[in-house]
Amino acid sequence: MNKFALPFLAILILMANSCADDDQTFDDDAVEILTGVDLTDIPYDPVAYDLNAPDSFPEMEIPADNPMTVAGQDLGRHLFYDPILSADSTMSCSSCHLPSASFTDNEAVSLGIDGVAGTRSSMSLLNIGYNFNGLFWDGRVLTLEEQALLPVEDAIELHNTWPNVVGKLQESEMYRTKFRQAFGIANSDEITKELTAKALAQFERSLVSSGNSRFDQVINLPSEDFEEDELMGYQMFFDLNGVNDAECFHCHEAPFFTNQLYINNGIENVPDLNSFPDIGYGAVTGLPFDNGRFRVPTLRNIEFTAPYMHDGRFQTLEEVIEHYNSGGHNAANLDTNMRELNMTEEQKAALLAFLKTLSDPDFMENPAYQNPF
Amino acid sequence: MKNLIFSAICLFSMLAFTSCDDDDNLQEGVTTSLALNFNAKYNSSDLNSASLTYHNYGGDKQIRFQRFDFYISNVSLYRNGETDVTELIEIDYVNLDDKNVDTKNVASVPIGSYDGIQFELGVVEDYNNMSPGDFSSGHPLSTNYWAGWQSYIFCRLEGNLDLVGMGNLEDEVGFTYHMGTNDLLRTIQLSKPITLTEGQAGDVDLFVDVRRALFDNDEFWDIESFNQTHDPSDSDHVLTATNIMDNLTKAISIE
Repeated sequence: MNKFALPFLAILILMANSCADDDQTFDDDAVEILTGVDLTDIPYDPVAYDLNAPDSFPEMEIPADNPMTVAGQDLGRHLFYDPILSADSTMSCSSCHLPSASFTDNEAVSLGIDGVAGTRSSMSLLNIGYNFNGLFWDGRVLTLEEQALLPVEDAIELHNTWPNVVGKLQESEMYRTKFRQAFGIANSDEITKELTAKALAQFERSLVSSGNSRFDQVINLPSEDFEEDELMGYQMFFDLNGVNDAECFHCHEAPFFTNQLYINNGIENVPDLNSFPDIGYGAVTGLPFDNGRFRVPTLRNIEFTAPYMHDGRFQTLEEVIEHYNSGGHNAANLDTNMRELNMTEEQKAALLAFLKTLSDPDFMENPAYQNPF
Repeated sequence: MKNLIFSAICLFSMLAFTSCDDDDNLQEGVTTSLALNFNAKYNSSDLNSASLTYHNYGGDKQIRFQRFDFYISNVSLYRNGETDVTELIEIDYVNLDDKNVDTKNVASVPIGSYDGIQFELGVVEDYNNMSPGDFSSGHPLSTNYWAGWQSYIFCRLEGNLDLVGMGNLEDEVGFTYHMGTNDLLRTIQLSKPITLTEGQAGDVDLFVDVRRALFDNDEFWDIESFNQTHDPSDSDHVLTATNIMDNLTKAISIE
């Protein structure tokens, strides 16, 4: 049969059925009845959000079901800073992710609304939208939309329920307007936890480097050069020119200064793979070889995000450098790039100087990322 | 009445279209899916990277692996003496770090008979001259870039060599072999009849014998003396990287 026959026949049959019974009536019970506030008088005119990312960055992949808009980013920013998300309205996402600390909180571990301490350090959200290999220190969720759902109901963190949060958002005239402007919903009943998470994800995706760090300027502008110590540190970091290799770039590769993998960098002294106090990635994969492995964090703005490591055990970058210089504690899954580096004091200082070229104060001071309240 | 008229139109249309049948066009554009399975081996055993699986490395020595991954470019099926090429994959990343099989699924491959499969091991020059900023996040080339070599890392092979075979960490030497630069791009061509039929998903198994990558001229590579390939200005590093990539071309087979 010709390949056009079946589709044409199907169309004709559908046409026949559409005219078959003019007396058909609708079943009212099948229509969802919304009892909330009608929002259709509020204009919905989405404008695409410009990430304004540095040219040297890959293009951020945005999920098709959550395109970034100006209104969406704004809604997400409000939600991010609003303690409405917590059970007692005392804490928000920003309580642990402060712009002044490159969206960490400068604590070894964070405290929740009940004063209970978590077990891991708050991770920086800088460039988090480029992540493609899992979120959190252990990679337990894949997308920002999934991640945003968890802290609200985490008993240690915001200790709330999503029905509570959604109820408050639906009652708020400001949020009804912003949800309408962001997502085009027709009724306040359509404010859901999923839309809330999408808005938060849009805000988090907007957190992108300014491109004005010294490192970015030197790499991208012919007129800029490293200082002598910064240059030595750069060469050590990237294993260039036969200088004493610090092996850093193997995990902290440019442009994001993370390879987004999960490694054991030897901070824990354990007799075997089953003895790690925090098994990290191993809890997600179920593989013993992944025990004690954690996500490689970004080094951008590392100067502002002390303390360091998943549990905040190192207070200063000098301590971090000393750790890597030592080669770390051996383990079956110790990353093979870890080895004694035998750095001189001059080389350690040079490495520190280079790390500071990754500082981007413009990012932290960007008005688009600040508390709107 | 209206239904009767529409039914008549349907019947007439069916007859009209049927009379224009041309069975010779049926095979054109017929495709099926194809799974390319990259299997990591150590001789005939599974590689089992990222585990405490040890393999013999000559004498008392034994070896285990933590990472094994590589880029593939311009993957295609060929026939008629390679003059007829069906492109499958332009660029992808085979990750055998923590699994023994990485499958690349190709959705629409024309059915028919092929003589074999070919691909580049690494990143072709046009792409290798680019950098992560030229791609979207999540693209295989948005990561694995080595600024010092101005190249992508074509292949990573990392692990630990146990010098005395007792399974004690203190007796081990870690090795990190990272291969890249345009000079180390290698072409792989594997001859095997491959037939893809309508309505049946194709399946091709490729095997990478890591032992073969480290064993040449009747001896294992001296990992203890040459355990890194990081410095392009170091002739030992370059020699090691070149040897491993050359041996990898002989280590890949099809069944």
